[in-house]
Amino acid sequence: MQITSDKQDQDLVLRIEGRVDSSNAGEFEQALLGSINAGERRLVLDLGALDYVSSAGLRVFLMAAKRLGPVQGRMALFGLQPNVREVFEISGFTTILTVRDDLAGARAALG
Amino acid sequence: MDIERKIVLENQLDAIPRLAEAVEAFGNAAALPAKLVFQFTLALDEIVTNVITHGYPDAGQGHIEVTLQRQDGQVRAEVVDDARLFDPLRDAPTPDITAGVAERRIGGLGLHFVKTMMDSVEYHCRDGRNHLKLSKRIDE
Repeated sequence: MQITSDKQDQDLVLRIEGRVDSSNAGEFEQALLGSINAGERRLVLDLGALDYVSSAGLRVFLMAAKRLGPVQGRMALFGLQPNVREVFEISGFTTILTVRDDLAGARAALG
Repeated sequence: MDIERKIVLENQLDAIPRLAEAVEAFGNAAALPAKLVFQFTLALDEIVTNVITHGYPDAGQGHIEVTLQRQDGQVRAEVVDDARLFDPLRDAPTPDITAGVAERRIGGLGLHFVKTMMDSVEYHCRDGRNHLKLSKRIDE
């Protein structure tokens, strides 16, 4: 897994590449929750190069969403590959998280 | 074409990417559709992750064997481990996948994936070991 970040105006765009499973979900958690702890309130997650995610990775998306709620933060995801999308759908995460097709759509969804 | 592979893992989470590679290699050798390979990769990841995370409360060394088999138009997998005895089909909590972000509980999704993606999931305890069997028909 590799995570790169790019600040575009007020939005922090995090690009997550490779695999997120139980062996590295802790690293992903530190990166994502760490950015919220550092004060980021508008997160865009680019999953275009995310090849695989298990429930250990989904847990981190949910934790971030829970953390952002009380501080009026927003998070949007885009670029889900078919296998990753299937995992999100089976979990009901496509309805509780904001998922868009592309970067522009995800940034627009933050309002 | 019948083909069988066995993977032996220790109870450390860094075994998970190795398991994924082995399932991928089996899928290639058995000429399985990519989607089916992904579903077995995820199901076995979730099962073995649960075994490693919850099955060895005394942090002792564990031995986990995963067998994959293609036969009669089906893929079968079996996970045998020496963790504490636990029937995930009977004893694991069921997640509410319709709950919103605030109410949604963290965890419990792994087994939901397994049940959703496989045709059958069976648990047996034999000789003091957990045996979890998965199977799914190959749609060519």
